[in-house]
Amino acid sequence: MKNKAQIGLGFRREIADAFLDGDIKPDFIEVAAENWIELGGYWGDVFRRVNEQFPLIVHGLSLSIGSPEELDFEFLKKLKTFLKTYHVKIYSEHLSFAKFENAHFFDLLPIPFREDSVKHISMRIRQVQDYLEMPLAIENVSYYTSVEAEMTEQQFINNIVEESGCNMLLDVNNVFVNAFNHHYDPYQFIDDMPLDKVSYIHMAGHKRIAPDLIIDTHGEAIIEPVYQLFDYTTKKMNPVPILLERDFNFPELNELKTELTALRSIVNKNQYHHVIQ
Amino acid sequence: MLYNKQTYHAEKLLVEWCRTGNPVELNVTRQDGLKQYRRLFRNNIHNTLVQSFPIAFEVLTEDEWSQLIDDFFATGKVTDGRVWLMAGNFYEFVVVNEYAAIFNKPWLDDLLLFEWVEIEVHTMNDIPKEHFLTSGDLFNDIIEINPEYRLITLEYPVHLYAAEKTVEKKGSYFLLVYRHPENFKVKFSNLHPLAVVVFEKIRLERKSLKQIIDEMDALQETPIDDTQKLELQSFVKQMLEEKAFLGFKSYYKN
Repeated sequence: MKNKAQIGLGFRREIADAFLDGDIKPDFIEVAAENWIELGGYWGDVFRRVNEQFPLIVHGLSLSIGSPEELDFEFLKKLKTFLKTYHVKIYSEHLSFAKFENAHFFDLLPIPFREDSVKHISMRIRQVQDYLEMPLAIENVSYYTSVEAEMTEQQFINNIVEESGCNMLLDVNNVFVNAFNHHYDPYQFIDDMPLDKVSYIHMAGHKRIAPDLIIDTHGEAIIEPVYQLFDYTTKKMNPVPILLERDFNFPELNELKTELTALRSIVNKNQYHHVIQ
Repeated sequence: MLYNKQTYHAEKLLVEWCRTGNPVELNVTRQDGLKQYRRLFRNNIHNTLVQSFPIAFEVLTEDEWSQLIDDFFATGKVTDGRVWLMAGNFYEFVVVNEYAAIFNKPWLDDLLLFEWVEIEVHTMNDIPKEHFLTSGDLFNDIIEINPEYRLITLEYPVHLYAAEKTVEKKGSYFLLVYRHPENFKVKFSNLHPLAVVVFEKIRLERKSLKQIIDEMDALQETPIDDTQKLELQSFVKQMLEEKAFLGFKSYYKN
Protein backbone atom coordinates (compact mmCIF):
# COMPACT_ATOMS: atom_id res chain seq x y z
CA MET A 1 0.00 0.00 0.00
CA LYS A 2 2.95 2.35 -0.44
CA ASN A 3 2.87 4.04 -3.80
CA LYS A 4 -0.53 3.40 -5.24
CA ALA A 5 -3.85 4.22 -3.67
CA GLN A 6 -5.76 1.14 -2.61
CA ILE A 7 -9.50 0.85 -2.06
CA GLY A 8 -10.57 -1.16 0.97
CA LEU A 9 -13.77 -2.20 2.68
CA GLY A 10 -14.58 -2.63 6.35
CA PHE A 11 -14.78 -6.32 7.20
CA ARG A 12 -18.05 -6.98 9.00
CA ARG A 13 -19.61 -10.25 10.09
CA GLU A 14 -22.80 -9.62 8.13
CA ILE A 15 -20.88 -9.73 4.86
CA ALA A 16 -18.05 -12.07 5.89
CA ASP A 17 -19.04 -14.81 3.44
CA ALA A 18 -18.76 -12.42 0.51
CA PHE A 19 -15.11 -11.81 1.39
CA LEU A 20 -14.32 -15.49 1.98
CA ASP A 21 -16.12 -16.67 -1.15
CA GLY A 22 -14.42 -14.10 -3.33
CA ASP A 23 -17.66 -12.30 -4.17
CA ILE A 24 -16.12 -9.03 -3.13
CA LYS A 25 -12.41 -8.32 -3.46
CA PRO A 26 -11.26 -5.04 -1.96
CA ASP A 27 -7.55 -4.25 -1.98
CA PHE A 28 -7.49 -4.43 1.81
CA ILE A 29 -9.82 -4.72 4.76
CA GLU A 30 -10.18 -2.78 7.98
CA VAL A 31 -11.40 -4.27 11.24
CA ALA A 32 -12.16 -2.87 14.66
CA ALA A 33 -9.53 -4.38 16.94
CA GLU A 34 -11.95 -4.87 19.83
CA ASN A 35 -14.26 -7.03 17.74
CA TRP A 36 -11.55 -9.59 16.99
CA ILE A 37 -8.94 -9.53 19.76
CA GLU A 38 -8.74 -12.90 21.54
CA LEU A 39 -11.78 -14.16 19.70
CA GLY A 40 -12.05 -17.91 19.29
CA GLY A 41 -14.47 -20.39 17.78
CA TYR A 42 -16.30 -19.74 14.56
CA TRP A 43 -15.45 -16.08 14.22
CA GLY A 44 -11.86 -16.56 15.25
CA ASP A 45 -11.55 -19.11 12.46
CA VAL A 46 -13.24 -16.78 9.96
CA PHE A 47 -10.90 -13.97 10.92
CA ARG A 48 -7.78 -16.07 10.42
CA ARG A 49 -9.01 -17.15 7.00
CA VAL A 50 -9.93 -13.66 5.82
CA ASN A 51 -6.64 -12.31 7.11
CA GLU A 52 -4.83 -14.78 4.85
CA GLN A 53 -6.59 -13.25 1.85
CA PHE A 54 -6.44 -9.51 2.50
CA PRO A 55 -3.96 -6.95 3.88
CA LEU A 56 -5.28 -5.56 7.13
CA ILE A 57 -5.67 -2.11 8.66
CA VAL A 58 -6.79 -1.98 12.28
CA HIS A 59 -9.13 0.68 13.58
CA GLY A 60 -9.67 1.02 17.32
CA LEU A 61 -12.84 1.75 19.25
CA SER A 62 -11.97 1.66 22.92
CA LEU A 63 -8.55 3.23 23.43
CA SER A 64 -10.42 6.39 24.43
CA ILE A 65 -7.55 8.75 23.85
CA GLY A 66 -9.54 11.62 25.37
CA SER A 67 -10.26 10.01 28.74
CA PRO A 68 -8.83 11.61 31.84
CA GLU A 69 -7.73 8.33 33.45
CA GLU A 70 -4.54 6.38 32.77
CA LEU A 71 -4.30 4.43 29.53
CA ASP A 72 -5.38 0.83 29.79
CA PHE A 73 -2.06 -0.96 29.38
CA GLU A 74 -3.64 -4.36 29.79
CA PHE A 75 -5.66 -3.63 26.67
CA LEU A 76 -2.64 -2.15 24.90
CA LYS A 77 -0.71 -5.33 25.57
CA LYS A 78 -3.41 -7.42 23.90
CA LEU A 79 -3.60 -4.92 21.08
CA LYS A 80 0.15 -5.04 20.50
CA THR A 81 0.07 -8.82 20.29
CA PHE A 82 -2.84 -8.62 17.84
CA LEU A 83 -1.09 -6.04 15.64
CA LYS A 84 2.11 -8.08 15.57
CA THR A 85 0.35 -11.40 14.96
CA TYR A 86 -1.43 -10.05 11.90
CA HIS A 87 1.47 -7.87 10.66
CA VAL A 88 -0.61 -4.71 10.80
CA LYS A 89 1.10 -1.61 9.42
CA ILE A 90 -1.59 0.99 10.16
CA TYR A 91 -3.46 1.37 13.43
CA SER A 92 -5.96 4.18 13.88
CA GLU A 93 -8.18 5.50 16.65
CA HIS A 94 -10.78 8.19 17.18
CA LEU A 95 -10.03 11.65 18.50
CA SER A 96 -12.73 11.34 21.14
CA PHE A 97 -13.42 9.60 24.41
CA ALA A 98 -15.50 6.48 24.92
CA LYS A 99 -14.69 5.67 28.53
CA PHE A 100 -14.84 7.57 31.78
CA GLU A 101 -13.70 6.33 35.19
CA ASN A 102 -13.00 3.02 33.46
CA ALA A 103 -16.58 2.45 32.29
CA HIS A 104 -16.96 1.95 28.53
CA PHE A 105 -19.82 3.54 26.58
CA PHE A 106 -19.29 2.14 23.08
CA ASP A 107 -19.80 5.47 21.43
CA LEU A 108 -17.64 8.49 20.76
CA LEU A 109 -17.97 11.59 22.91
CA PRO A 110 -16.46 14.91 21.87
CA ILE A 111 -13.34 16.10 23.66
CA PRO A 112 -13.38 19.77 24.66
CA PHE A 113 -11.30 21.66 22.10
CA ARG A 114 -8.94 23.25 24.61
CA GLU A 115 -5.24 23.86 25.09
CA ASP A 116 -4.93 21.51 28.07
CA SER A 117 -6.73 18.81 26.06
CA VAL A 118 -4.10 19.16 23.34
CA LYS A 119 -1.36 18.59 25.90
CA HIS A 120 -3.15 15.72 27.63
CA ILE A 121 -4.00 13.89 24.42
CA SER A 122 -0.63 14.49 22.80
CA MET A 123 1.03 12.96 25.83
CA ARG A 124 -1.25 9.92 25.65
CA ILE A 125 -0.71 9.50 21.91
CA ARG A 126 3.05 9.51 22.47
CA GLN A 127 2.64 6.91 25.22
CA VAL A 128 0.61 4.70 22.88
CA GLN A 129 3.07 5.08 20.02
CA ASP A 130 6.01 4.32 22.28
CA TYR A 131 4.32 1.27 23.71
CA LEU A 132 3.10 -0.13 20.39
CA GLU A 133 6.31 0.85 18.61
CA MET A 134 4.33 2.15 15.66
CA PRO A 135 2.60 5.38 14.71
CA LEU A 136 -1.01 6.00 15.62
CA ALA A 137 -3.33 7.57 13.05
CA ILE A 138 -5.90 9.70 14.81
CA GLU A 139 -9.33 10.18 13.21
CA ASN A 140 -11.36 13.37 13.06
CA VAL A 141 -14.73 12.29 14.46
CA SER A 142 -18.22 13.50 13.78
CA TYR A 143 -19.69 15.39 16.73
CA TYR A 144 -23.12 16.82 17.40
CA THR A 145 -22.12 19.57 19.74
CA SER A 146 -18.82 20.96 20.88
CA VAL A 147 -18.30 21.25 24.63
CA GLU A 148 -16.52 24.05 26.50
CA ALA A 149 -14.50 24.81 23.37
CA GLU A 150 -11.69 27.36 23.37
CA MET A 151 -10.48 26.77 19.83
CA THR A 152 -11.76 25.46 16.52
CA GLU A 153 -11.71 21.80 15.60
CA GLN A 154 -9.12 22.54 12.90
CA GLN A 155 -6.77 24.15 15.42
CA PHE A 156 -7.37 21.30 17.84
CA ILE A 157 -6.50 18.60 15.31
CA ASN A 158 -3.49 20.44 13.92
CA ASN A 159 -2.08 21.13 17.36
CA ILE A 160 -2.43 17.49 18.39
CA VAL A 161 -0.88 16.15 15.20
CA GLU A 162 2.00 18.57 15.56
CA GLU A 163 2.60 18.11 19.28
CA SER A 164 2.21 14.32 19.36
CA GLY A 165 3.86 13.49 16.04
CA CYS A 166 0.98 11.17 15.17
CA ASN A 167 -0.53 10.52 11.77
CA MET A 168 -4.08 11.23 10.78
CA LEU A 169 -6.98 9.15 9.53
CA LEU A 170 -9.01 11.67 7.56
CA ASP A 171 -12.70 10.85 7.53
CA VAL A 172 -14.10 12.90 4.67
CA ASN A 173 -17.69 12.03 5.51
CA ASN A 174 -17.14 13.29 9.07
CA VAL A 175 -15.85 16.57 7.67
CA PHE A 176 -19.03 16.88 5.63
CA VAL A 177 -21.27 15.94 8.57
CA ASN A 178 -19.57 18.37 10.94
CA ALA A 179 -19.55 21.18 8.39
CA PHE A 180 -23.28 20.71 7.88
CA ASN A 181 -24.12 20.43 11.58
CA HIS A 182 -21.86 23.28 12.70
CA HIS A 183 -22.16 25.56 9.68
CA TYR A 184 -18.65 25.76 8.33
CA ASP A 185 -17.07 25.30 4.92
CA PRO A 186 -15.91 21.68 4.48
CA TYR A 187 -13.52 22.63 1.69
CA GLN A 188 -11.81 25.17 3.88
CA PHE A 189 -11.64 22.54 6.61
CA ILE A 190 -9.85 20.16 4.22
CA ASP A 191 -7.47 22.97 3.26
CA ASP A 192 -6.68 23.43 6.94
CA MET A 193 -5.89 19.77 7.61
CA PRO A 194 -2.32 18.43 7.79
CA LEU A 195 -2.79 16.42 4.62
CA ASP A 196 0.85 15.33 4.48
CA LYS A 197 0.22 13.42 7.72
CA VAL A 198 -2.80 11.47 6.48
CA SER A 199 -2.25 7.68 6.55
CA TYR A 200 -5.57 6.80 4.98
CA ILE A 201 -9.05 8.10 4.34
CA HIS A 202 -12.48 6.97 5.49
CA MET A 203 -15.54 7.34 3.33
CA ALA A 204 -19.06 6.48 4.45
CA GLY A 205 -22.73 7.32 4.29
CA HIS A 206 -24.77 9.25 6.82
CA LYS A 207 -28.38 10.01 7.69
CA ARG A 208 -30.12 13.37 7.90
CA ILE A 209 -32.53 13.09 10.82
CA ALA A 210 -33.64 16.73 10.95
CA PRO A 211 -33.44 19.63 8.50
CA ASP A 212 -30.32 20.85 10.28
CA LEU A 213 -28.86 17.68 11.76
CA ILE A 214 -26.96 14.77 10.20
CA ILE A 215 -25.95 11.64 12.10
CA ASP A 216 -22.88 9.71 11.02
CA THR A 217 -24.47 6.28 10.67
CA HIS A 218 -22.29 4.24 8.28
CA GLY A 219 -25.60 2.70 7.27
CA GLU A 220 -26.33 4.50 4.01
CA ALA A 221 -24.72 4.97 0.62
CA ILE A 222 -22.24 7.81 0.13
CA ILE A 223 -24.00 10.88 -1.23
CA GLU A 224 -22.76 12.99 -4.14
CA PRO A 225 -21.59 16.04 -2.12
CA VAL A 226 -19.36 13.75 -0.08
CA TYR A 227 -17.91 12.27 -3.28
CA GLN A 228 -17.24 15.84 -4.42
CA LEU A 229 -15.45 16.65 -1.20
CA PHE A 230 -13.48 13.44 -1.55
CA ASP A 231 -12.54 14.39 -5.10
CA TYR A 232 -11.34 17.77 -3.87
CA THR A 233 -9.38 16.15 -1.04
CA THR A 234 -7.63 13.49 -3.07
CA LYS A 235 -6.56 16.07 -5.64
CA LYS A 236 -4.59 17.80 -2.90
CA MET A 237 -2.88 14.68 -1.55
CA ASN A 238 -0.45 11.99 -2.39
CA PRO A 239 -2.20 8.64 -2.85
CA VAL A 240 -3.20 6.91 0.38
CA PRO A 241 -5.46 3.90 1.06
CA ILE A 242 -9.18 4.66 0.93
CA LEU A 243 -11.60 2.74 3.14
CA LEU A 244 -15.32 2.40 2.57
CA GLU A 245 -17.10 2.00 5.92
CA ARG A 246 -20.43 0.22 6.05
CA ASP A 247 -21.50 -1.00 9.46
CA PHE A 248 -25.14 -1.98 9.08
CA ASN A 249 -28.14 -1.79 6.76
CA PHE A 250 -26.06 -3.69 4.24
CA PRO A 251 -27.19 -3.35 0.63
CA GLU A 252 -26.77 -5.87 -2.19
CA LEU A 253 -23.12 -6.54 -2.87
CA ASN A 254 -23.41 -4.83 -6.23
CA GLU A 255 -24.16 -1.56 -4.49
CA LEU A 256 -21.04 -1.86 -2.34
CA LYS A 257 -19.02 -2.75 -5.43
CA THR A 258 -20.42 0.30 -7.21
CA GLU A 259 -19.26 2.50 -4.34
CA LEU A 260 -15.80 0.92 -4.35
CA THR A 261 -15.60 1.47 -8.10
CA ALA A 262 -16.69 5.09 -7.75
CA LEU A 263 -14.00 5.73 -5.16
CA ARG A 264 -11.39 4.02 -7.32
CA SER A 265 -12.26 6.04 -10.40
CA ILE A 266 -11.95 9.30 -8.47
CA VAL A 267 -8.60 8.27 -7.03
CA ASN A 268 -7.31 7.10 -10.40
CA LYS A 269 -8.36 10.35 -12.01
CA ASN A 270 -6.63 12.35 -9.32
CA GLN A 271 -3.48 10.27 -9.39
CA TYR A 272 -3.29 11.14 -13.07
CA HIS A 273 -3.87 14.74 -12.08
CA HIS A 274 -0.81 14.51 -9.84
CA VAL A 275 1.34 13.09 -12.60
CA ILE A 276 0.56 15.81 -15.12
CA GLN A 277 1.06 18.71 -12.72
CA MET B 1 -3.46 13.79 33.73
CA LEU B 2 -2.87 17.10 32.01
CA TYR B 3 -6.52 18.15 31.87
CA ASN B 4 -7.33 21.11 34.04
CA LYS B 5 -10.30 20.96 36.39
CA GLN B 6 -12.67 22.62 33.94
CA THR B 7 -11.93 20.18 31.12
CA TYR B 8 -12.16 17.19 33.43
CA HIS B 9 -15.44 18.52 34.79
CA ALA B 10 -16.82 19.07 31.29
CA GLU B 11 -16.18 15.44 30.37
CA LYS B 12 -17.65 14.28 33.67
CA LEU B 13 -20.84 16.29 33.15
CA LEU B 14 -21.18 15.12 29.56
CA VAL B 15 -20.98 11.50 30.69
CA GLU B 16 -23.41 12.19 33.53
CA TRP B 17 -25.93 13.64 31.12
CA CYS B 18 -25.59 10.69 28.75
CA ARG B 19 -26.00 8.13 31.50
CA THR B 20 -28.83 9.69 33.48
CA GLY B 21 -30.51 12.33 31.35
CA ASN B 22 -30.37 14.67 34.36
CA PRO B 23 -29.83 18.28 33.26
CA VAL B 24 -26.24 19.50 33.50
CA GLU B 25 -24.71 22.94 33.10
CA LEU B 26 -22.41 22.65 30.13
CA ASN B 27 -21.32 25.20 27.61
CA VAL B 28 -22.37 23.47 24.38
CA THR B 29 -22.97 24.75 20.88
CA ARG B 30 -26.01 22.53 20.21
CA GLN B 31 -28.43 21.41 22.90
CA ASP B 32 -30.18 19.14 20.39
CA GLY B 33 -26.80 17.59 19.61
CA LEU B 34 -26.27 16.85 23.28
CA LYS B 35 -29.56 14.95 23.34
CA GLN B 36 -28.42 12.82 20.41
CA TYR B 37 -25.55 11.42 22.45
CA ARG B 38 -27.83 10.06 25.13
CA ARG B 39 -30.14 8.56 22.52
CA LEU B 40 -27.28 6.97 20.56
CA PHE B 41 -25.60 5.59 23.68
CA ARG B 42 -28.78 4.09 25.06
CA ASN B 43 -29.57 2.53 21.67
CA ASN B 44 -26.14 0.92 21.62
CA ILE B 45 -26.64 -0.63 25.03
CA HIS B 46 -30.20 -1.69 24.28
CA ASN B 47 -29.38 -3.23 20.89
CA THR B 48 -26.35 -5.11 22.19
CA LEU B 49 -28.27 -6.54 25.12
CA VAL B 50 -31.34 -7.48 23.08
CA GLN B 51 -29.02 -9.39 20.79
CA SER B 52 -27.29 -11.02 23.77
CA PHE B 53 -30.43 -11.90 25.74
CA PRO B 54 -33.20 -12.58 23.22
CA ILE B 55 -35.17 -14.85 25.56
CA ALA B 56 -35.02 -12.48 28.53
CA PHE B 57 -36.05 -9.61 26.27
CA GLU B 58 -39.01 -11.67 25.15
CA VAL B 59 -40.22 -12.80 28.56
CA LEU B 60 -39.71 -9.61 30.57
CA THR B 61 -42.31 -6.89 30.25
CA GLU B 62 -41.41 -3.78 28.30
CA ASP B 63 -41.23 -1.78 31.53
CA GLU B 64 -38.98 -4.32 33.23
CA TRP B 65 -36.61 -4.44 30.30
CA SER B 66 -36.50 -0.64 30.07
CA GLN B 67 -35.79 -0.37 33.78
CA LEU B 68 -32.90 -2.80 33.47
CA ILE B 69 -31.43 -0.93 30.52
CA ASP B 70 -31.86 2.49 32.13
CA ASP B 71 -30.42 1.37 35.46
CA PHE B 72 -27.52 -0.46 33.87
CA PHE B 73 -26.80 2.53 31.65
CA ALA B 74 -26.94 4.93 34.59
CA THR B 75 -25.05 2.99 37.23
CA GLY B 76 -23.60 -0.18 35.71
CA LYS B 77 -20.05 -0.49 34.55
CA VAL B 78 -18.84 -2.12 31.36
CA THR B 79 -15.26 -2.88 32.16
CA ASP B 80 -13.91 -4.04 28.81
CA GLY B 81 -13.95 -2.37 25.41
CA ARG B 82 -14.95 -5.59 23.68
CA VAL B 83 -18.67 -5.20 23.20
CA TRP B 84 -19.52 -8.90 23.47
CA LEU B 85 -18.37 -8.85 27.09
CA MET B 86 -21.06 -6.31 27.98
CA ALA B 87 -23.49 -9.21 28.42
CA GLY B 88 -21.38 -10.61 31.27
CA ASN B 89 -21.32 -7.26 33.05
CA PHE B 90 -25.08 -6.95 32.59
CA TYR B 91 -25.70 -10.41 34.06
CA GLU B 92 -23.59 -9.53 37.14
CA PHE B 93 -25.39 -6.20 37.49
CA VAL B 94 -28.80 -7.87 37.52
CA VAL B 95 -27.68 -10.46 40.09
CA VAL B 96 -25.99 -7.97 42.43
CA ASN B 97 -28.96 -5.61 42.37
CA GLU B 98 -31.46 -8.41 42.93
CA TYR B 99 -33.83 -7.64 40.09
CA ALA B 100 -35.12 -11.23 40.22
CA ALA B 101 -36.69 -10.36 43.58
CA ILE B 102 -37.73 -6.86 42.53
CA PHE B 103 -39.59 -8.23 39.50
CA ASN B 104 -40.75 -11.33 41.37
CA LYS B 105 -39.21 -13.46 38.63
CA PRO B 106 -36.97 -15.85 40.56
CA TRP B 107 -35.70 -17.53 37.39
CA LEU B 108 -34.28 -14.27 35.97
CA ASP B 109 -30.68 -14.77 37.16
CA ASP B 110 -30.57 -18.30 35.78
CA LEU B 111 -32.06 -17.25 32.46
CA LEU B 112 -29.48 -14.47 32.03
CA LEU B 113 -26.68 -16.82 33.05
CA PHE B 114 -27.86 -19.41 30.54
CA GLU B 115 -27.90 -16.83 27.73
CA TRP B 116 -24.61 -15.23 28.77
CA VAL B 117 -22.75 -18.53 28.97
CA GLU B 118 -23.86 -19.41 25.45
CA ILE B 119 -22.25 -16.16 24.25
CA GLU B 120 -19.14 -16.74 26.32
CA VAL B 121 -18.59 -20.28 25.09
CA HIS B 122 -19.30 -19.31 21.50
CA THR B 123 -16.90 -16.38 21.54
CA MET B 124 -14.14 -17.10 24.06
CA ASN B 125 -10.57 -17.51 22.89
CA ASP B 126 -9.47 -20.88 21.58
CA ILE B 127 -7.91 -23.03 24.28
CA PRO B 128 -4.95 -25.19 23.28
CA LYS B 129 -5.89 -28.85 23.28
CA GLU B 130 -3.76 -31.75 24.41
CA HIS B 131 -2.82 -34.30 21.79
CA PHE B 132 -5.36 -37.12 21.96
CA LEU B 133 -6.24 -40.43 20.36
CA THR B 134 -9.57 -40.86 18.61
CA SER B 135 -9.93 -44.50 19.55
CA GLY B 136 -9.51 -46.19 22.87
CA ASP B 137 -11.18 -48.06 25.68
CA LEU B 138 -13.84 -45.85 27.22
CA PHE B 139 -13.75 -47.74 30.49
CA ASN B 140 -10.01 -48.14 31.03
CA ASP B 141 -8.39 -45.25 29.16
CA ILE B 142 -8.07 -41.70 30.39
CA ILE B 143 -10.45 -39.34 28.63
CA GLU B 144 -9.37 -36.01 27.14
CA ILE B 145 -12.11 -33.47 27.63
CA ASN B 146 -12.88 -30.62 25.27
CA PRO B 147 -11.48 -27.62 27.22
CA GLU B 148 -13.86 -25.11 25.59
CA TYR B 149 -16.78 -25.45 27.97
CA ARG B 150 -18.52 -24.02 31.00
CA LEU B 151 -20.32 -26.14 33.60
CA ILE B 152 -23.04 -24.15 35.32
CA THR B 153 -25.49 -24.88 38.10
CA LEU B 154 -29.06 -23.67 37.78
CA GLU B 155 -31.88 -23.59 40.29
CA TYR B 156 -34.50 -23.11 37.61
CA PRO B 157 -34.32 -25.33 34.52
CA VAL B 158 -34.54 -22.51 31.99
CA HIS B 159 -32.63 -24.71 29.54
CA LEU B 160 -35.44 -27.25 29.53
CA TYR B 161 -38.65 -25.27 29.92
CA ALA B 162 -40.06 -21.82 29.23
CA ALA B 163 -38.76 -19.55 32.00
CA GLU B 164 -42.20 -18.83 33.51
CA LYS B 165 -42.85 -22.56 33.90
CA THR B 166 -39.70 -23.30 35.87
CA VAL B 167 -40.90 -21.94 39.23
CA GLU B 168 -42.51 -25.21 40.32
CA LYS B 169 -39.49 -27.17 39.06
CA LYS B 170 -36.94 -25.50 41.32
CA GLY B 171 -34.04 -27.82 42.11
CA SER B 172 -30.40 -28.43 41.23
CA TYR B 173 -29.62 -28.67 37.56
CA PHE B 174 -26.20 -29.04 35.98
CA LEU B 175 -25.68 -27.80 32.48
CA LEU B 176 -22.58 -28.47 30.42
CA VAL B 177 -22.16 -25.85 27.70
CA TYR B 178 -19.39 -26.57 25.22
CA ARG B 179 -18.13 -25.63 21.80
CA HIS B 180 -17.91 -28.28 19.13
CA PRO B 181 -14.26 -28.34 18.06
CA GLU B 182 -14.98 -28.72 14.34
CA ASN B 183 -18.13 -26.78 13.52
CA PHE B 184 -17.79 -24.38 16.52
CA LYS B 185 -21.48 -24.70 17.41
CA VAL B 186 -22.40 -24.30 21.07
CA LYS B 187 -24.02 -27.41 22.47
CA PHE B 188 -25.81 -28.03 25.75
CA SER B 189 -25.97 -31.14 27.84
CA ASN B 190 -28.08 -31.51 30.98
CA LEU B 191 -25.99 -33.63 33.35
CA HIS B 192 -27.07 -36.03 36.07
CA PRO B 193 -25.34 -35.23 39.41
CA LEU B 194 -23.32 -38.47 39.22
CA ALA B 195 -22.17 -37.53 35.73
CA VAL B 196 -21.03 -34.16 37.09
CA VAL B 197 -18.84 -35.94 39.67
CA VAL B 198 -17.34 -38.12 36.95
CA PHE B 199 -16.86 -35.14 34.65
CA GLU B 200 -15.03 -33.18 37.35
CA LYS B 201 -12.82 -36.13 38.26
CA ILE B 202 -11.90 -36.67 34.62
CA ARG B 203 -11.13 -32.97 34.30
CA LEU B 204 -9.24 -32.44 37.54
CA GLU B 205 -7.73 -35.79 38.37
CA ARG B 206 -7.28 -37.17 34.84
CA LYS B 207 -8.37 -40.66 35.73
CA SER B 208 -10.08 -43.39 33.70
CA LEU B 209 -13.75 -44.16 34.25
CA LYS B 210 -12.72 -47.46 35.86
CA GLN B 211 -10.41 -45.69 38.32
CA ILE B 212 -13.13 -43.19 39.19
CA ILE B 213 -15.77 -45.86 39.73
CA ASP B 214 -13.38 -47.98 41.78
CA GLU B 215 -12.61 -45.00 44.00
CA MET B 216 -16.29 -44.18 44.44
CA ASP B 217 -17.04 -47.83 45.21
CA ALA B 218 -14.38 -47.76 47.88
CA LEU B 219 -16.27 -45.00 49.63
CA GLN B 220 -19.11 -46.67 51.51
CA GLU B 221 -21.37 -43.63 51.18
CA THR B 222 -21.41 -43.73 47.41
CA PRO B 223 -21.37 -47.28 46.10
CA ILE B 224 -22.00 -47.47 42.38
CA ASP B 225 -24.40 -50.21 41.29
CA ASP B 226 -24.23 -52.00 37.94
CA THR B 227 -27.00 -49.93 36.41
CA GLN B 228 -25.18 -46.74 37.32
CA LYS B 229 -21.95 -48.13 35.90
CA LEU B 230 -23.68 -48.80 32.60
CA GLU B 231 -25.21 -45.33 32.67
CA LEU B 232 -21.81 -43.75 33.25
CA GLN B 233 -20.29 -45.72 30.39
CA SER B 234 -23.15 -44.57 28.23
CA PHE B 235 -22.56 -40.98 29.39
CA VAL B 236 -18.87 -41.13 28.45
CA LYS B 237 -19.73 -42.69 25.08
CA GLN B 238 -22.29 -40.00 24.36
CA MET B 239 -19.92 -37.19 25.37
CA LEU B 240 -17.28 -38.65 23.06
CA GLU B 241 -19.75 -38.81 20.18
CA GLU B 242 -20.86 -35.24 20.78
CA LYS B 243 -17.27 -33.99 21.17
CA ALA B 244 -17.68 -32.75 24.72
CA PHE B 245 -14.90 -35.28 25.24
CA LEU B 246 -12.31 -35.20 22.51
CA GLY B 247 -10.87 -38.70 22.79
CA PHE B 248 -8.36 -40.62 24.81
CA LYS B 249 -5.17 -39.55 26.47
CA SER B 250 -2.08 -39.82 24.32
CA TYR B 251 1.35 -40.00 25.84
CA TYR B 252 2.70 -38.09 22.89
CA LYS B 253 3.44 -34.51 23.97
CA ASN B 254 2.32 -31.54 21.88
